[in-house]
Amino acid sequence: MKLDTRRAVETPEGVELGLRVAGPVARLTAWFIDALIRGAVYYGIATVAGLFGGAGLAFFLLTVFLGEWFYFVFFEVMRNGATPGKRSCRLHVVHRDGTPVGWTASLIRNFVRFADFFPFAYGFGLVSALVSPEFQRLGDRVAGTVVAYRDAPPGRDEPSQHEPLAPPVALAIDEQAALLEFDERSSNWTTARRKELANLLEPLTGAKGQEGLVRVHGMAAWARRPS
Amino acid sequence: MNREQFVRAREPHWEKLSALLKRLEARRSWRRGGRETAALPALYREVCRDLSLAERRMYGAVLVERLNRLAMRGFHQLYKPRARFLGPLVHYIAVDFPRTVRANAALFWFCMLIFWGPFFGMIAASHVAPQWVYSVIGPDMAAQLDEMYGPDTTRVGRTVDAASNLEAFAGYIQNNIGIDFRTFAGGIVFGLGTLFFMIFNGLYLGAAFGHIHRAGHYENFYSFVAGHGSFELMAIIISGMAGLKIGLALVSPGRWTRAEALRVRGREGLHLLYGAALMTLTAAFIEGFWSPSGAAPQVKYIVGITLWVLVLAYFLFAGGRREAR
Repeated sequence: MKLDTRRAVETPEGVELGLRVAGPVARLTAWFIDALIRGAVYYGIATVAGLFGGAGLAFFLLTVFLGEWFYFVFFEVMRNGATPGKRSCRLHVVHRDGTPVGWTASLIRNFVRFADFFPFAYGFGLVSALVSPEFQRLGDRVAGTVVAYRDAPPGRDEPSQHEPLAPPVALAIDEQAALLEFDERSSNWTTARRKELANLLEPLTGAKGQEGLVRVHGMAAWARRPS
Repeated sequence: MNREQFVRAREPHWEKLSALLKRLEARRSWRRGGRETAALPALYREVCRDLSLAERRMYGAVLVERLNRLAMRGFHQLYKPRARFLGPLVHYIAVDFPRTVRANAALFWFCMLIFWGPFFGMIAASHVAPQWVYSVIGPDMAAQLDEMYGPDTTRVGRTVDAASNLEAFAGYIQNNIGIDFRTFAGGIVFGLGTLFFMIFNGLYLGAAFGHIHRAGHYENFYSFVAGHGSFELMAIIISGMAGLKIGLALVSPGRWTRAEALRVRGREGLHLLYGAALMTLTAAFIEGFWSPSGAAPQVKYIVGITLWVLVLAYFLFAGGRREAR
């Protein structure tokens, strides 16, 4: 069963690394930040270049050309796979095998961006991402790239206030990770929602409602300090 | 050994790798190397081993995630592509690009057909059924062409608002190279986008030529476009080939899966697109600075014909006989 977007990537050293693929919302946020940055730069250059007449206009046109087609490529290749927008959302572009992107992949994915934008507001790209297990837009499919989170999920390494409770069966790493994320995110939810989610785990905890919730938190505490 | 002992024993190594990675990540990717990087492979392999052990011994998700992140960062530094630029560029122009075009001869002729067919069709239409021409370019464009190439134009090839050569040059780059890239991108829609751009460009340019024929601005027009036409129009053909590479990967993937074919053909397409963009760039230089110059029309015709011959000879002969890919 797939619990989250974590994918295993095997390296030539024979070890499996985990890659957490990012979904449309995080990517759209990053794109929006990048669009704001480009817009601000264009505006600044237009203001200054306006003072220089024809040569200024020429400079402005060239900047817009470079910005629209090469902004993403430049940052993805030169700055470890991340444009400023992606960096601020803790995302980066990598090949599907986890290796960093070079010129070829970055150029392809960003030139095909034009088709992703079609017919409007990234329509094709969004459909492509939603039907892809790795959230690949069209450009990603051609280039063989994915957008992944740069970091592991924010892991609080502090002891939990819940009493550790060993689960009745051995849990795999991604199952443990799911429990930990439940524990960390639960402060954002209402108690009713927490119980509702914990109820889904009844086969594991053997209890519903408040008792089930306490046991889920207990197992998360156990996953945090297993030794 | 339990988890605490494991962490205590290995922690210094992880710290060392983390510090090294931090320095490498901060460094600009075009300056790398140096003595400290020599320690990277060994430290990286150690953390790979630690990660496998931690996972196998069920040391818990927090530790595994932490080691995973460290290994991933090491992996990234170790497998970073080397940024080389000038050497490959020269080799590409002299050998790779013309060879790749020749190796895809069928595709090349198909693109020639879908561009030049509508183009000459439109010119022919201007002599027998001129209403076709104006259903494509419309009265505004026709008026603009008259302004640019008519007998009483002040600057041939320019509208009144495009003041300087530099400005026009920038406009050509933005517009024409953008067309190359869009033609490439259109390939992802089963090639339909590329076909549309190719045929539309053929029709539109053909209609513009057709209007010129009807209005009789031959000399101003042909002496202006002679210089850059070879580079600009052949670049359209090449970018069409690049886009159709992607389209064909989806329509007829051969013995690959479609996803696989897309990645392989996408790379080949990009390989062609580089050449198209370079040619369009060359065309923009010629169109910006040579085409509007005051040289006599005869000189411009000779230069134009020479460039056509050179471009065709380049595609036919450059890079030797052995075929690439």
